[in-house]
Amino acid sequence: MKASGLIRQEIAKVFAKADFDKTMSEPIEAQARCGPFGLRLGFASQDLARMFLPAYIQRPPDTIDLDLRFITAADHDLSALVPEASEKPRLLIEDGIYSVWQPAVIPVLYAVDLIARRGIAWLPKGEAPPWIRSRPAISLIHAMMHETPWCAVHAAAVGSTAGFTLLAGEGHSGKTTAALACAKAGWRYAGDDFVAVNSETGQIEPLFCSARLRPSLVDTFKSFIGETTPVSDFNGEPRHELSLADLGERIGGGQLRALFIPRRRGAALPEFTPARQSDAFRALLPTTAYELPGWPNEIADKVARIGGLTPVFFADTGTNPMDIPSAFALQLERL
Amino acid sequence: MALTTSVPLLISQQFDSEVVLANYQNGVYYNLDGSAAQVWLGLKAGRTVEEIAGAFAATTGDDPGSITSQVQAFVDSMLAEGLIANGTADARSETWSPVGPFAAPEFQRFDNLRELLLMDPVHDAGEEGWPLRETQETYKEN
Repeated sequence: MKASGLIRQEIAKVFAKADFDKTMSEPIEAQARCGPFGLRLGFASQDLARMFLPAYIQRPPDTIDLDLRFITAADHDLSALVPEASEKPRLLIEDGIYSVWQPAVIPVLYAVDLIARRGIAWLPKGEAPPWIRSRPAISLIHAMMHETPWCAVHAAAVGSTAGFTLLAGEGHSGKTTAALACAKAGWRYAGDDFVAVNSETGQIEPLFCSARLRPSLVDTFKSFIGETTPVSDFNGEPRHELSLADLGERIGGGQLRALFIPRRRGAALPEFTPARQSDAFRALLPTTAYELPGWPNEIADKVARIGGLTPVFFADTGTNPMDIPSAFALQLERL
Repeated sequence: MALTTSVPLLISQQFDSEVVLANYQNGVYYNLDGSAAQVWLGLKAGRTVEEIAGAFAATTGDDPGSITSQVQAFVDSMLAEGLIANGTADARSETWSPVGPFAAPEFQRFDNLRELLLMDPVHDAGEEGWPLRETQETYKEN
């Protein structure tokens, strides 16, 4: 049997009702919107639901596009699906099966049967790396976007009455600071890490209601974010993994109006400098492509199109985060 | 040997007169502008170094020998960086001709993404697919 056949078989077993009831003592179910998709989520335990559910936008979708289950080795033994040389990350795209094995310190196996529209996130150790909790199973959402105009891009996105801006750039560029400052000022919030963008129309949709905040910014946003979670540390990058579900209807999307590339060049007040489509491409592509395995040429094409949809600016965000919303609003209204 | 711009794990995008190349293997980005972009586009259109240099000389009136040596040096540097490869030439496009004046071609290299690449847990997932393990082969036989 080909690897894809085996994976398809095991996904089907996870979804077999009798098996589900027998092996999962306390299954939790929920529905969520994730970009353009509606999800039905199943968690094998309260612990798994507590781990992942806060990041999801829990609103009843119009349709269910993906049935996704989070399970551990205690619920299902899927060790037969772990590829040879299990210390290496692996990607399989074959016969309508997309699967990613992420060994790391805390391993995770993601797999989706794109024909049956059923996916699994299998946590052999019963826990997940903290940064995955803020964007659970995003690689499977990426797989669902294959051959559609939609693309999950590494960017923040916030919207005012003048439209949405996509904030693209590497780590430490100030995406989260700008996005949270705008959200605190009453803007719509579509995400600070990954958001869904339609590369043909410029429609933006949130994937999750999470935020990844540096400890140094907690004081700035304390009144807005409420209680913080423990700090996660991934390769020396400490973050609070936050849920912004309390924003309610302000978690949402809209039409892209401009792409800002935040950078800190020492300006006291926010400043904008025109940038090129290729600058947007360079700002968006690296993390997007590296974190979403598979179809790199398709990702590059979509990202290039997104970079060409609207004007692009470098945005020096200044020294006071609370100056950002009014400066961004003014810039968007000028366009 | 012929040259090709089709290199595994190298992504290319053209933006007007600019070409961006991203090497997924080592996380290095390259920006090709002006004559550098035109040379790369010439190779992509199936032209040889001599044809590219000749086309530049015909449109600019500059010394063909000088242009050829500069184009050759640039092509050598692209080969060394893995931005092009020896192999079967790309399909010939009859419509290609260089745009703009000729200036010594060079690329900008951005390697600030290397760190990001090393951080990522799945960056080298790829072409090898998902080899079946011995236990899975046994599974098949049963």
